[in-house]
Amino acid sequence: MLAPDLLIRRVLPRFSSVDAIETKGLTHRFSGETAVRDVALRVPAGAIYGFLGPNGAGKTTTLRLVLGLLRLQHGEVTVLGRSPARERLDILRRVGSSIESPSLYGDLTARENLEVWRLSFGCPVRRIAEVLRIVGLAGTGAKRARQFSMGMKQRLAIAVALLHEPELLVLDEPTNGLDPHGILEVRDLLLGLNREHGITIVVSSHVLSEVERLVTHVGIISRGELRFQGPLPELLLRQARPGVAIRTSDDRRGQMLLGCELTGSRLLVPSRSPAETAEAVRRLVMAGLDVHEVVAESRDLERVFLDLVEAGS
Amino acid sequence: MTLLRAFRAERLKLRRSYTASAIVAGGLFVPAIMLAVRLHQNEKTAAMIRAGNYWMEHWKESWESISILILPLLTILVTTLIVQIEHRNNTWKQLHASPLSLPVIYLAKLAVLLVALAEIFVVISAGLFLAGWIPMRGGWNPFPAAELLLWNARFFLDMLPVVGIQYLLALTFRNFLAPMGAGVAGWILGLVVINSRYVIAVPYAYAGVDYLIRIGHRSGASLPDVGMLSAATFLLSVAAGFSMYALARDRGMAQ
Repeated sequence: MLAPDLLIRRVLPRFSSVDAIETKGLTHRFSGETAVRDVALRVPAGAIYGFLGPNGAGKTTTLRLVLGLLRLQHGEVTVLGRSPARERLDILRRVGSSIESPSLYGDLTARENLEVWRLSFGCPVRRIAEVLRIVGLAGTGAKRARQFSMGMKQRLAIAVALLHEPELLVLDEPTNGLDPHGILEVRDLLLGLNREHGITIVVSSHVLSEVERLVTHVGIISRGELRFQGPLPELLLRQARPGVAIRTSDDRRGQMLLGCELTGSRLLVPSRSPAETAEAVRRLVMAGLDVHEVVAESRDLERVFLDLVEAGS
Repeated sequence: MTLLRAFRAERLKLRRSYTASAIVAGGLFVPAIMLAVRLHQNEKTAAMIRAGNYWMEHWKESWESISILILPLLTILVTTLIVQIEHRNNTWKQLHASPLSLPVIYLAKLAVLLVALAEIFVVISAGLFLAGWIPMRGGWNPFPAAELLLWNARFFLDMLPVVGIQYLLALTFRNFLAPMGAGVAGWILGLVVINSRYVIAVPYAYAGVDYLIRIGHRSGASLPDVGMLSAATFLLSVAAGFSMYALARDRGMAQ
């Protein structure tokens, strides 16, 4: 594997400087409760953007706002350089989406479901056979969508989103309910669409490991706020940063003393040598704090993700 | 062109749904009973044929229960079933993420509802024709097609407000029982007030009251023209329904 800083230099230049999606100050409330707060999303054209966060973090609300499924209360949205408020239909002609659970007509077959959306999008009949082949559902015949497994439903939802050859694909939790094999299939499918057809893809998930081998960029949202956004290699750099985790009798004071991150009940202290670690402990003890535990910090990507999610909680 | 495509898509969504079964079963209910009555009361049937006004009398007799009972209930059921397809399949969000404008979506669904109402009339009329023709046994009266078409057209107009109101209710409530219950409650209220002047406030009874006026069982003097009233109520309910639909905050239609 390439070093993260090398990855940044090699991977990033292929993305356009134009953003496929850009939001500014996106804030939305449901019955007085803030679902998303001041979200500034930037999805570069050509990227596979992983929009990550725990359940209820605000992912779906953000995506619904981007697609105009929720009325904008505060902030700005630009999709493919256009404003949904003024050019909604033009945007939707160029965007394929699947939000929350797959939206399928249960009494119809896969082909009939696609025919419904083909008529809505006004695309040629040949596209039905093409997308069925792409998602591997060409042989489902007269079987009704309600009889499909969750994996088949997810694939049919992706076929619907691909029908009109969109430039941007927005998929909300497309691996939900899939077994590991199904997750691999969807991942390979999306990678192929991005590499061979240049489609920009936004894929949300609450499990980092499901998308970390797929995405080029990551946005991490928690409690309605964007905690991190940038190329995946930048997130990897955080992982690589050496340090120690220290538990003390007063973490808040310890954080002020050392000026470091506090995650849960652990002070994350950047430290490149034993001498730096000793200095940090000495400062805590001299300030009258009890040091309960000092462990070498080896954060994997999942830990970085969880730390970001928990930050500020 | 876009509206036509949207209409075709809406019609396709009805495939294998309960809508067609409801139209056929509900539409043939009264004709089946009338067939049994005509066969059982063969003396009376023969007398009607001899009198030379068999078809009109057969039609009027059959339409008593159709206009007051079957037609409003069947229209409530079919309209609610059709609109509920999007709620049941959780497809509103996908529909609103397609490049169809809100008026096109609304009008395409309304067109499908009106076609379904027309289908109810076709099934009822075909059923009544058979229920009248089978017991004729060699005797024949000319079939007054134009007259009966006008009769049907008038009741079609009377049913439009029910379509408009049920469309609005079915868009508003995600739960199937809510619009269905509200519609049935409106229909019961219509039965209660059908002989009073307050019937103009209950569109579910317009077909019934129109029938009673036509056969002379009720005076229409205290009422405005039921046809005009139906047309106005329909336009008003369609406009109200569209306003409510277009102003919804959540296009996933999560109520």
